[in-house]
Amino acid sequence: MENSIARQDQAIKRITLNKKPSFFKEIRKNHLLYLLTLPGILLLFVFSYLPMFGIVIAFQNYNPVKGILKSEFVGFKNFQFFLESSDVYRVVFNTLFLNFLFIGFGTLASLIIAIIFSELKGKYFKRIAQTIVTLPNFLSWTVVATFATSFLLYKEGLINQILRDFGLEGFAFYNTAAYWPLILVIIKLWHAAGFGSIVYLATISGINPEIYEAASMDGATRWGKIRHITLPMVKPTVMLLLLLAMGNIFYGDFGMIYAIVGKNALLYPTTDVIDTYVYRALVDLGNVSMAASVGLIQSIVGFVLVVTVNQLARKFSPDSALF
Amino acid sequence: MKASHLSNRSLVLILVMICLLLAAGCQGSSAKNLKNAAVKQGEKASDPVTLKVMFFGSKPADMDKILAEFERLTKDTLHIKLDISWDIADTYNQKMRLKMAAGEQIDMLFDASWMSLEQNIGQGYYQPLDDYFLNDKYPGLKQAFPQAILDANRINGSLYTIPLTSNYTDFGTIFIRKDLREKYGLPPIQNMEQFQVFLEKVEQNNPEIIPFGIGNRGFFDMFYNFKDKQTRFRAVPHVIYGTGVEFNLVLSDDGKQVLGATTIGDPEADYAKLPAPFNQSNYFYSHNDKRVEFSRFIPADVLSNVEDLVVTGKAAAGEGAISGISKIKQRLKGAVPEADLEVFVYNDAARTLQPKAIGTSYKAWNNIVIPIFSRHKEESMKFINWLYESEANHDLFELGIEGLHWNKKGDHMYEMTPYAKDYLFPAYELTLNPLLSRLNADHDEQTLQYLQYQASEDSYYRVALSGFTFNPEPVKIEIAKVQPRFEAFNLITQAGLEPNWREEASKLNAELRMLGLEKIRAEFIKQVQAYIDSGGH
Repeated sequence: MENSIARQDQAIKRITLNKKPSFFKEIRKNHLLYLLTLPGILLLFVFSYLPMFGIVIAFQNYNPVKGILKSEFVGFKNFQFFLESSDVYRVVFNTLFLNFLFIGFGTLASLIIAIIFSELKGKYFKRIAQTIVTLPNFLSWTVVATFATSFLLYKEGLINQILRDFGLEGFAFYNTAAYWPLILVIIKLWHAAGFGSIVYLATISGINPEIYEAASMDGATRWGKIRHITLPMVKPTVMLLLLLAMGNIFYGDFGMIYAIVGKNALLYPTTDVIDTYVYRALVDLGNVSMAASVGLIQSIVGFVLVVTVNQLARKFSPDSALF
Repeated sequence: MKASHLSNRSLVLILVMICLLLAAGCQGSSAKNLKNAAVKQGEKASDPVTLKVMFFGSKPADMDKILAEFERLTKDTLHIKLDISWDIADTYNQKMRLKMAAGEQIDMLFDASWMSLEQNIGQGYYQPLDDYFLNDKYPGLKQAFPQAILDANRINGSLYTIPLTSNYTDFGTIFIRKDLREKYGLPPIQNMEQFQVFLEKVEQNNPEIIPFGIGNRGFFDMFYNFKDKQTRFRAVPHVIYGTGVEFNLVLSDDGKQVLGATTIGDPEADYAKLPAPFNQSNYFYSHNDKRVEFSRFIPADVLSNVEDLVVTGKAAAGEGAISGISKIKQRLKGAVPEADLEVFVYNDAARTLQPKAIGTSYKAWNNIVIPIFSRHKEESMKFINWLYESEANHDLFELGIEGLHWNKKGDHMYEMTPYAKDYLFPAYELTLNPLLSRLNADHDEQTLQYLQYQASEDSYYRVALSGFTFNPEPVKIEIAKVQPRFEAFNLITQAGLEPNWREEASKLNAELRMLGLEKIRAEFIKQVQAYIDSGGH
């Protein structure tokens, strides 16, 4: 009996092995289907892969008047400035640290908001509240920076005025670097968490209501349903978005940090990220090649991270892996 | 068999469709090209040439009226249209460079040494314009740009700019609330000690007002040494830019030899190698002590402050360029009607209107350039020539429509009408000129006196190495490494926020040396020496 099962198994294996056709056989067999994908592939090739030859700028002493083809090739010279700077450890640390905080707390907050909204029943309240939490995302960072100023100024800032009304000492926010990771996280959450919750909310509303009904019949509490149904069901989405976020972890949020911190050198120790640093280093030189070299480093690190984390995800939670 | 026949047919069909699509794409663009060519041929006959222009700042409300008037006036002569884009200053610099890096076709744009003029010329972005000046075919240019101005603005031996300048400087002053000073019973301020007394009085009597409302650039020039003329050295406020850090460059007495270049935090032994008074760091940096001393009068969040605190009445004094006073005063009176403003010029020799008191390199602070990618160089220069050809043309762009925006007054002056606010054109971006620009008659007598003084050639002396421009190319990697460090330190000391600046500067200096400071210094000295050896001064 066991023997026959084993033989069957082997047979199946052989069939599956045989089923894996060679590349050319596959093409010949499904050539029409492949032909249909051709325009899409062409489009991707022309607009996403061909421009990648522009990377060569990072290895050139690029001069726009001479053009890419005639500019002098200098190898890895453009990478020197970034890799040899003494500040590089600090700005890389700040970039990673702030991004981990943003991603971690951002995901958490978005998830909580999504769950709260999915549990809410009042139709109008829900709509209004949802609009209100989504709205900040559409404000530009320059506007957010003015808001921040009106809250955080030492003399006229709202927070310090309230503290003083209670007879407490004010905080010199704009002179103290240590507060800023916290301040930036709060601003980031206010700005993006509501908008980020939309994807989770869509996933949650996609869960089959019968599962909840069945759980209710078995006497599950609301909290029990969230823990045992909602959370496990959104897990793949959470993982997917985290995975995608990993690709950008080496990019600082220039728009946000430059608008809010600007040229306040006192805050650089905790807020200076790769992008703001490179901006300051190259703003006077205006050197395209050196900037491109840093951009290339950032994308390579992002690529490596996405692949690595995807491998890990495939190992521990195969549903969530990207590829 | 049938199936394969069908698939072959559909295969062919699809391939044909793709080919058609591609061909259509190509056809589309070639048809467009043809059309463009046709337009170009017909252009001379009917359509005017449109010049693309880039400026920064906000577009004056009545700009379109002025452009319409311009087109009406020149319909039969120039036959040119201007398409001007306006961006805020910060964005402008980045956008302009990006457009140049992408090779976009712009016909005229604004650039300056304080933006990226030298670097962009180094990259070959701008066209040389030597042939157009001092040329009888362009009488407007010939009349408005005399030899001396052109000579001072040559870079690497060529003239790449249309230099815009009405004076060789716009000197730094302190704006003081006159009403408060009179309230405290103080005499007009003549020196820094009296100014400090004023600030203390504000602190005591009006605690709700910030005594000295400076912004995130810190103190500008107010504590610098103006007594020693920089004819044998270059340091702040006439430092040579583009080196990543600020060097104090010292020349021999005959001006033929570079003796050395020091920077902040260098060991005293390095200074000691130079002749007196340059042999100690205090000569170049004692202003930092003053900044620390005065920092108690400035806003608590100074490095994040981008608000102009004087115009809102939140501050009792501020620092800025003298020509801005009438606009600042106007805005202040809008916020605090009983307020009044006066100036204190801190360069002693300039305050007392001494001749040869202000250092200058005679270089224009603002310029128009014509990018290499422009296809309308000729038309652009014709427009500029038209603009400078007559007072009337020039007034139209600088001041607006006579009778509507402004009126003539006295000798080469003008006064603003209530509608002037609809056309506040940034003259420094297109029209500023020593011969053609009119003075605003709305200034008070004291300011007018200063403005006339700074308009006079006799008020200036030439600083050493006035024609020198540093080429960062050989040491650009070192500059990129050194610059962000130095800049962060500079921002903090500039606002007087580092009481231990001497120790911090030594630490910084040691670090910068590891990042390549010495290589930059050697290159800097080498380039200056080469400049002198080739006859520059």
